[in-house]
Amino acid sequence: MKNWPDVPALHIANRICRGLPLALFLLLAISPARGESTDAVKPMAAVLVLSESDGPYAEFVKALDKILTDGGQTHVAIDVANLNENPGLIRNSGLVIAVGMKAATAVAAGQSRFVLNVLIPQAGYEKLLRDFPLRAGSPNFSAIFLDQPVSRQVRLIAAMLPGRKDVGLLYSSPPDNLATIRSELAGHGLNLHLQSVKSERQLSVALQDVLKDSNVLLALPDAAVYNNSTILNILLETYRRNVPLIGISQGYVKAGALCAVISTPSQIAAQTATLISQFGDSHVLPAAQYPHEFEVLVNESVAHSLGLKIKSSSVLHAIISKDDRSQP
Amino acid sequence: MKSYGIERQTQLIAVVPILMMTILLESYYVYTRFADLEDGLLDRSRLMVHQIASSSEFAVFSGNRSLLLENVNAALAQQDFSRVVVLDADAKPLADRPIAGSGQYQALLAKADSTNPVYLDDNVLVLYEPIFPAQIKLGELDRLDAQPASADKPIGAVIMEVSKYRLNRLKHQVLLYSLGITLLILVTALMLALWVARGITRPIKGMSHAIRSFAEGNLDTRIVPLPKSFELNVLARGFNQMAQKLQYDQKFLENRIAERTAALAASEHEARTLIENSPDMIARYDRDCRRIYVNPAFSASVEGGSAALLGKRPSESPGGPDSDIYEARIKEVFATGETEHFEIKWPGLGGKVICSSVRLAAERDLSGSIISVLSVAHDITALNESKDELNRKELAKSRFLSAAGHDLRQPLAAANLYIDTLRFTNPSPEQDRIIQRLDQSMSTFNELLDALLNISRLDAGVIKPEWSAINVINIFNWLEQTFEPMARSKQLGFRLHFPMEEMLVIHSDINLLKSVLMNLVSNAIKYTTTGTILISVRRRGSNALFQVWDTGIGIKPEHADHIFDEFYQVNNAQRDRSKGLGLGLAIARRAILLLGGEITCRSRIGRGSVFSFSLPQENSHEAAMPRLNASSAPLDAARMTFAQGKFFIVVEDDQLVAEAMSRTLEIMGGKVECFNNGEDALRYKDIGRADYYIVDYMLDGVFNGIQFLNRLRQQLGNDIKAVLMSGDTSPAFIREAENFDWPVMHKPVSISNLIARLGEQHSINI
Repeated sequence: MKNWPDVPALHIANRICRGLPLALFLLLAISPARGESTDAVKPMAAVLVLSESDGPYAEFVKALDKILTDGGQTHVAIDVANLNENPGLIRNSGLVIAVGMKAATAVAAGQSRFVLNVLIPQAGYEKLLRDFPLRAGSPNFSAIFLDQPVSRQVRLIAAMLPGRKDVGLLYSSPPDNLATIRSELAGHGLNLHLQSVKSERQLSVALQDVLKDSNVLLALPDAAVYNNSTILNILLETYRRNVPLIGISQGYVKAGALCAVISTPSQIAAQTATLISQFGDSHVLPAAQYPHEFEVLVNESVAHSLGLKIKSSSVLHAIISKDDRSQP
Repeated sequence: MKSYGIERQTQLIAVVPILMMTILLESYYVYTRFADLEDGLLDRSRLMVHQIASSSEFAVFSGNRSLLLENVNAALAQQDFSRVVVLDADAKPLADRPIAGSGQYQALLAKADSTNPVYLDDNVLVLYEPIFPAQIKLGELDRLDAQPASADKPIGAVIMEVSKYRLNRLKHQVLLYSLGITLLILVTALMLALWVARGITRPIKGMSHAIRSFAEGNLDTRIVPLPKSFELNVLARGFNQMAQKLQYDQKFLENRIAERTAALAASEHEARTLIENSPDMIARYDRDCRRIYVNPAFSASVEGGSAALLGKRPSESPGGPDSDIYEARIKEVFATGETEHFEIKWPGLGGKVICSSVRLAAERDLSGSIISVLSVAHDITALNESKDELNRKELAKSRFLSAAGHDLRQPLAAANLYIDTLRFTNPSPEQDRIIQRLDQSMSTFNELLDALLNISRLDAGVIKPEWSAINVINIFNWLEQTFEPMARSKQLGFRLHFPMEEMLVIHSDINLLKSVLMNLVSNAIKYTTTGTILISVRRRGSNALFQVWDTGIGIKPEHADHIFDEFYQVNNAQRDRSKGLGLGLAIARRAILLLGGEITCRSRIGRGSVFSFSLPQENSHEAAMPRLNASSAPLDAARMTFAQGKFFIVVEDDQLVAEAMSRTLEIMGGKVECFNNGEDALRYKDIGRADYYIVDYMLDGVFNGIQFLNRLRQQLGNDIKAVLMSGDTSPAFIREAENFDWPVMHKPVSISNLIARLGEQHSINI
């Protein structure tokens, strides 16, 4: 640097500083290739393909990175948008972890042999399998669902609202796990009230219909029914009917759902790290699975508004965790 | 172009900006107020429709009409919102208030819809607000991983009609309020402007009053300075100073005028005194020749005084034969402006004829036009009388001279004749010497008479110069021939000086010139004892200057003025005849005057004299040939025989002259018949046979000489040869004699001259 001319040096230095994150990223990106070519001491554990680089994805990557780094494992993360720029990287990597639906779809379309999809709903995974039949049935195309197992939600209802036995369910198309739901509810002595929603305009009517018979409404990851636009009116309607809504994400609880069982990105990252580790040993991916770790979120205000006396979330977590089959 | 007063202009200046500002401000206020009201209503309506839309979301979602109506009614309870329609996603009305019935909402929908959410006209505002579902984020994962929801699709719409009735009423009020304020400001501004303008114009008006008053002559006018306005005070001070100066100047001028007027009055008084006391008759005439002023001298010179003169024409008063001429002269002066000078006669007091020398002068006004004519008449009656007296005296003198001449000539003529006769009587030498002396004295006497006769003739003006071109060389030749022997005989030098190089020709009468020169030269020779006589001629401009120099005794200054008088002789109190008659210079002076010159004399006593006269030169250079006049020839032999055998009839009342005449003629061999008067002569039977008639002019009897000759010629019927003789040398007679058909001879008549005259007739007649 000393030999560099005076003023342009500063200018270039400035540019370098600005470009530093990119440079570091490139360093990370290039290093496996170098490692591959030079037979690095530590083989690269996985390549992460991110749908987005912020929000829950960032949280997920951060948590995963920490675990892997602590475990002495190397990995690389690339944005889905840059996927095509490194075809060799994806092709030659051992395990590709697709984070989010967008990344999952892109990766599924690619040549990667071992793919672990994380932060995608179960329905999304099933859609991928439908869309990419070659991936279907392949043990190398696995996932950690974002969804919670129905049993865990049913246990939450049972634990939280022991007096309420009629559980309403709205759907645009019947969920795949409807039988499971029915059986889980039945297992806890709860009645299922189904109501299909033909169109969005009929949502109100359908909602009113289902709420006539239900005193708990269980939300499903059905975007035609539950979305940003509808959620307020659904919540208002349930509130007016004094029917608590059991949500499926933190957003639901914040919007006005009474409670939800969720797994945080960190929890899923930890589960992912475990799977990476296992894959590193066995080069085999487990079947698609629900997240093992979870949390119970309760909206105290809603509970209060509804005049409900509920258990604390930790108590609920403990109740639900007991005999959780998905727990290791 | 209309002009405004300063007050009006000041008002305009004050009012117009304020008015414009007010109007602008009020317009701005009204405009912004209207805009605010409109915007306010729009904002409120938007807010309201938005509120209805958002609050109706759940009701629309849930299809809860009662809830909707509650919502809508709450909105309609507010002012201005006249109608609200809530539509569902299919644009079907869920609530339509206050107008019930389906289909009405479509009218609103026609005005405002999703594409044109705001409709605005003068009376109504229609707003369309779609009802969107409220968005609640369910979470990143929900959003990203869930199927996309139709979030931007409205679930319904609210159409709200807002009445602008109240707004318009408010606008109206605002407008009225603004107009009111504008008017108030205008009135205030006007009053203020009026007040200010008065403040400005009052002093200016005061000034203008002062100036007008000043212009009307009140020079005491002053402007009272005002406490407020500096500029106007400067003006006022200036005016006051000017007024003071003008007043001072006017007083100064008045004093000057008074002084001048007094001086003028004094001078007028002097002039008037002069005029009033002038012995001359002074009158002033207007254009009609009427008198507008007469002085006392004039008034006193006519009957009736000034009353008879003023306003009258000269022909009306005092009249007289010359009054018409007088009026014509006055008119002439009015016409030409030139001063006239003439003499008139007019009847004065008591019919006495007054002779006046009148001077007419034009009197002009300042512009130079003639306004009157001043007549100054000087009474020259007395002058004329004295002149007449003088003339009479002169006449008397002439008569005396002629009478004396006549009376002297008679005996002289007779004596001459007798002396001539005496010569024929063979006298002894002693007798012959006596005859010589007698003849000499008689010729002196004769000369004296001739000279007297010449004077008479010159005085009478009968001598008319016979003008001709005369070469002075001829004159000088004659002078030399005539006088050189005389000078030589007195042993005097005789010199002539005339221009040789160029011929000098004068315009004159040679006989008169010769007589003058003869006189002067003979005098010079006479009065010079030693020295030289010099006669010179030289050019003096257009004249020729003749000078006769002598080195004689000279003339004393006290005599110099009189030497040209008749009979004046220096140093000859005894009137010694040998010294001349004393008439020569008198004749010379008269002759030179007649020739257009003047004779002068310069002399120094004991040194000599010079006589000078100038005569005009002849214009043409043609040299006049010498005209040698036949001088009176001596009685030569031819003449002696003239009378032989001739028959003479002499008519002469003077017996002495008649006898001498007839005796002489008879001695010369002629036959003579004498008659005392014409009548006797005419009765004479042989009157017609005479060869010559010698007739005295003044005859006894009815006829005078000329009458006799005329009668005789009439009687004979043919021409007759005659000579008239007269002792009358009066100018009157000499003038008369010029016209006679026969030659007139003045007595004393020498026989030789008589024969010469008769002979001339003879030769002419032959």
